[in-house]
Amino acid sequence: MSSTDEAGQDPAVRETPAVKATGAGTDRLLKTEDLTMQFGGLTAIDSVEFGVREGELRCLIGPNGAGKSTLLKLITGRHVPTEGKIYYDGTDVTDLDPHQRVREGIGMKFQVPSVFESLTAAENVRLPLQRVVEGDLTEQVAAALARVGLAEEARTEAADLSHGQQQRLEIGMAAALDPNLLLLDEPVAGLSVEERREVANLVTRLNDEGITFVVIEHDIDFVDRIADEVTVLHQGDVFREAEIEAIRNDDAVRKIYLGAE
Amino acid sequence: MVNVVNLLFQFLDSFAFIVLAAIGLAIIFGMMGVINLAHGEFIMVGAYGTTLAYNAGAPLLLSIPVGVLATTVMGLVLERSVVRRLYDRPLDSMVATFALGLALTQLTRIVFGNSLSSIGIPLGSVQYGQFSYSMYRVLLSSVALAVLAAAYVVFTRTEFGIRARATIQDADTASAMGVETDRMYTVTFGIGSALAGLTGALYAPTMSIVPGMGSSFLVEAFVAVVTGGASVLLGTTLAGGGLGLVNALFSNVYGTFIGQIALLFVAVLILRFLPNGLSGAVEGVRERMERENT
Amino acid sequence: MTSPYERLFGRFEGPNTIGNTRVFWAGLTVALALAAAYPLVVSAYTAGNTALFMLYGLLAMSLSLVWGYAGVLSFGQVVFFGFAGYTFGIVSINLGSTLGVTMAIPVAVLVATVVAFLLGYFMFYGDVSGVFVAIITLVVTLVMQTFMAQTAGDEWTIGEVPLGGFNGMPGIPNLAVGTEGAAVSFSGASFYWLVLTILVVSYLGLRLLVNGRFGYAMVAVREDEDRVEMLGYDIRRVKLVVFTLGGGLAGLSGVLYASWGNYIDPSVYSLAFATLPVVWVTVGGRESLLGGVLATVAIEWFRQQLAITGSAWATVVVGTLLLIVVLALPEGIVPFVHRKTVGFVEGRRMVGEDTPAADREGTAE
Repeated sequence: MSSTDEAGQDPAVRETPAVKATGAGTDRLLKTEDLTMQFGGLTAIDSVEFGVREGELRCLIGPNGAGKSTLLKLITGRHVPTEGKIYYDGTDVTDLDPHQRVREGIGMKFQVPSVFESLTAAENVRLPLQRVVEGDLTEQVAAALARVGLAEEARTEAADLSHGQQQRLEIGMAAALDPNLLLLDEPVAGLSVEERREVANLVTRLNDEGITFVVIEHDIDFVDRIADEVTVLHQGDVFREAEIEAIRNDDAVRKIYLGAE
Repeated sequence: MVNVVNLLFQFLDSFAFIVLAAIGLAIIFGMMGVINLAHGEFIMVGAYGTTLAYNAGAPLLLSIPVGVLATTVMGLVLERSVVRRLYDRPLDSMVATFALGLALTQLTRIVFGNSLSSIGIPLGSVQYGQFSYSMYRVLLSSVALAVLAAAYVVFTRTEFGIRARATIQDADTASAMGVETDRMYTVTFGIGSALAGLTGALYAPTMSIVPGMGSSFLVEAFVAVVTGGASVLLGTTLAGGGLGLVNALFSNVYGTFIGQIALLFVAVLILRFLPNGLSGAVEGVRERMERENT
Repeated sequence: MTSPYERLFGRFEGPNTIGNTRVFWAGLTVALALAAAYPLVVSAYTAGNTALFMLYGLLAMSLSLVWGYAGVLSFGQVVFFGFAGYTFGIVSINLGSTLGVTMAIPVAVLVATVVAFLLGYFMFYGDVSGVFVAIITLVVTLVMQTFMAQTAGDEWTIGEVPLGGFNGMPGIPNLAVGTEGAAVSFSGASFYWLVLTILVVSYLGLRLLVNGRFGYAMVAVREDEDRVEMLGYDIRRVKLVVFTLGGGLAGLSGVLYASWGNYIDPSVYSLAFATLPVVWVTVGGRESLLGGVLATVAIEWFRQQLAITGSAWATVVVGTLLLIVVLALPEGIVPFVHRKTVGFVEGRRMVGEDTPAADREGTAE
């Protein structure tokens, strides 16, 4: 189960925090139970059991329409499940609103880049920070930007940033709240090779700092670079869960991608 | 005391009024995402066209098509010049068409003065006991049903109708499949205008012909469209039936003002508790029943 | 190192309002001085007349706050306007004395605020979105109009005050503050100055709000609700707070209106009047507080002029103007003019910064 990540560290060696004695899924930071999502006659997520351990960097892959984004929206609270439960850090969060889940420590980067275009990078990062920090924010804003490598762009309007910088900015905004769990929906879509590498480094670095990740991506090389473990979603259910090498060599997985074309 | 026959007539009257007022607006909103707050003025133009033709000597049956034609022409002109810039901008279309309505009302007042001499109501009234009700207005409920039926046939059995529904569902896909969406929008706006004109023409004999007459139609039409939901025909029918019933019931017992308030109040409840409108709620029930049977 | 200018004006400036330079504030001060001197050169009647336009400006600002800054299009500002106006009439006439009139003011504004809170709660906590908020507020306005229009009968009397139906409620006293013996009553020129003061204080207060943390959250909600929610903000609460505040402001305008004409009737709930604030704010620029006020005064003065000269074209012109603005200048006239003229000089002011753009090195627009 132990692969080494980009920095050469063995994730299994990282410290695990004290176990919360609440019963449900205490070995997992995030756990879904029998999670189902139906839209009218369509079942998008079908009785899914999905779990992520603290400190993991999990990638979520699967053909289009498999339900990956839907699963993420269920975790953040954008969708209310038709059935099932979601446990985060030992607590049942199924009935919590999205903003409440954020305050519990879940963050998200949307599929469509969602930074505030007419505001500068610094102003963008200010928005999450001003809710949780009293008084002068200049230090925290600078730190949040530096964390994602955008210190130089503090004064640049988000609309003028490159696509890759915008993705990093959005990650920076979510990371500014020091989340335990960060969900990224296609962080490298439309980025150049160089930009993809930057994002990969950023994600692994944040993971080393202690943030657990669930990342949806189609770029298999990117996934290979960053992932500890990979979950393959197909037609609304978990198809496979293993390390990336095993997935890459799995015929059945390849077939579902081809079959879905 | 609820007089059942009276209630029935009031219901038919209300149903007809709401359906005829709303159908043109519903089609335009369903197809193009435009909320035409000048819809009342469109109806007014239909009424004016009819009245002017009648006062010039034409029989009522010929004056009505004149009213319809006038409104259709005006609608097409406005669509080319103004309305097409407002597609899928419901908020902006509300403000812009409101401005249009203001201008239309005032222009009518400037050109035609404060009122025209009205057409009398034809067909007399139905007597029952000590009550009477206008035959003509009750007849209009048959017309409303006929319009709904005709619209249903056009939308489901003609090629045009099928292309129109495809465009409503997904304009991009329809366009990719060869539907000329621009022309579709123009034709649809024309149809919506024609229906508005028809409403004005039909109700002209029952009302006083003043420039501001459109506003009494606008309220019912607007409310019916927004509570109806995504399905144009089903929504308009349900709204006409449901809101019409509420209006008739409360008017019968408490008078027309309270009837109107009840209608508006129920509309607010629908907007808040049925986010997909009346047709959405019905379709939701149908889906759930289907799922239970599989 | 903050200069005295920064310490004084810093919190009133920011990217959410136009006019962030010394020139602007200087110009504003001059304009205010002129406005204050106005009643000294015209008759008391004219001053009182202009005061009407200015209190309408307050109504416009309430919509600007709710729509321009938080993205909530409300056709219902007149509902709070009317509720406050009627309440002021009922309370002040029933209580009779000058003290009664004084007490009626906060009561009326409170009623408007509570109504706004209830309606806002009903809508936002029911997850009613965008266009449907506009629709519901419009329908509520129509409900109020229909309801008040049929209150003509004697049974519709509160205390000693009949609601009056279509005939309205006459005899509403002038605004007054104090008790018998030591009271200030406002009419003509004094009313004008009162309205001007309230307008200026509200304008500055709103500038403070929109350029602060809450204002920042408001604007973010307008731009991208979902993103803001995923940064931990309770967007329903943000909208509710803004909407309630807007309701209170509209209510204040309503109190001023009722005491201006000493009369109120259901026409304040009419479709025509409900849409006027939308007209004013659209033309003036809904994201500009100042633009809203200026457009209101200009449009209302213009409409009155045309009405006086007997021209029937007033409405046609206003309608056409509105149409042109929506189609060609969606940001509104004042922001457009500002952008084309002064804007590039002002440069880009950042949230949370102490130094104005002009003093920073190397700022480019």
